[in-house]
Amino acid sequence: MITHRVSLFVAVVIACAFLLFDRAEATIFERARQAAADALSPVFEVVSGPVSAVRDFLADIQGYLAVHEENARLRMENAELLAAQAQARDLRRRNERFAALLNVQVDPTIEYATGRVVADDGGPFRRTLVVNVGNNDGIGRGQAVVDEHGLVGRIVGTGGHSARILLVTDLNSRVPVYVEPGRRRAILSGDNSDMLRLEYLESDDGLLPGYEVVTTGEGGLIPPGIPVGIVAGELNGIWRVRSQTSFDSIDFVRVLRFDFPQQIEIPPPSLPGQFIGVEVTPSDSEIITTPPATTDDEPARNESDDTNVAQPPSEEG
Amino acid sequence: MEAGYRRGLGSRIARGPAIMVPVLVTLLCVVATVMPYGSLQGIPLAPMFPLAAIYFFVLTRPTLMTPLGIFAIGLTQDLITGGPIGLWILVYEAAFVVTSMQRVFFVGRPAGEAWLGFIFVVSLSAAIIWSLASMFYQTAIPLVPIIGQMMVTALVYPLLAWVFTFVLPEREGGA
Repeated sequence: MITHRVSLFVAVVIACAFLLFDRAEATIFERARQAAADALSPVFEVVSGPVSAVRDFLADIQGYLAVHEENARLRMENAELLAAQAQARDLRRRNERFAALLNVQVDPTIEYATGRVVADDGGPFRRTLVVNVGNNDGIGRGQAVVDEHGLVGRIVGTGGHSARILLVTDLNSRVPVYVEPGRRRAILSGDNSDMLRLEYLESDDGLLPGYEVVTTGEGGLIPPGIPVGIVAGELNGIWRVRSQTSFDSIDFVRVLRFDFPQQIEIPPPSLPGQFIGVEVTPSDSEIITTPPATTDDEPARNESDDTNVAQPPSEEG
Repeated sequence: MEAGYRRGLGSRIARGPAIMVPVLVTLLCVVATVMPYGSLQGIPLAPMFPLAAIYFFVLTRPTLMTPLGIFAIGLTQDLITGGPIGLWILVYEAAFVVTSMQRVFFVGRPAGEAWLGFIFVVSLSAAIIWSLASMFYQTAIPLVPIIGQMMVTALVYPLLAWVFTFVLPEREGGA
């Protein structure tokens, strides 16, 4: 009994020390966490198959129960989508014209890896998932994760065969976004519920439910323009966003292997009127290196999004 | 006393894997907890299987569920869930202490009374989880998912306890 008391005391002291270290230096246990998830990922993969099948079956039953409500919602959504489709065609035509006029280089296609969710955190105070793709598939920390509806979260830890996703609904998630139309900047944060919070909103004048929320690309981790959700309304002075993703039953996701452009080439002043993107030999150009943000849980930085945009050189002389 | 201790140690070694059963079963419960069951309105559907296992084995085989075993269980859960390291260790050690104190009341009593005891342990664990997680993240984390998951856990405990009886090792010195 005395041995039990001593070991209990030691266990509690060590646990408290772990908590303090983890709080002070969040990355200290990251390797151990990912090694554990990686080691168990084959087990997760085998066991999660039947679990997912049962979960899908239960979700189907839930769906049948809500079929009338769902039907009405879909009709309304369809009407909105038809209007949005016409608008999107118009915007696409305009965008093509502007692109041709400005000679803007089209972004390289973002590669991705598709993974299956094999585990979640199983707890009530975190919103994370484990997927069965990792370093060996080119997955790295900070990469954005999307499903068919838009942004789901981002990678916060990787092992050889698995990676952990911090969902946008997690308490620690912060994503810089625009609210469209109007291009209002805001930070989208999670609070462990399914409704996201729009914080630091530039202006809510004329903001209406139904407006779309998309990523800005600030920070260089998440590509710009990825839909995150729809403005749902205001609650207690905070605008809420409803994601189109069903976080209750995510199964397959895509991890975007997005590389933030790190080198911006500035043409020599002897070439007035030339735009960025035109081939310039390294010897003629000055290269500025902008390191991408690498820290997790970092709030949006105040840098202007214009840092990503190539500017024509000012005419000199 | 020393001879008795030696006999006890010898018998424990001779019993071999049987004495590991409670800890191993609880570790399996940890793996079962992180399966992607999904959630309902933000409430995780996965019961806290390890908490139920710890309570059950501390009541029925207290010598086989030790603080060090619980430390290993909590640490494993902390690592594979990606949460704050130490949180689940503290929750499970607290459950161990409370259950050990309750044990004298429940031995030989109807199973329904043990269920009531488990509801108390679950409630206490919920309070500890909420307090520690809120302190760790320096914000009041939502209570609803915690209460929801704990209610699910309390509801399924009789079923889990029934399953655990199939893997219950014999008592030292015979059944």
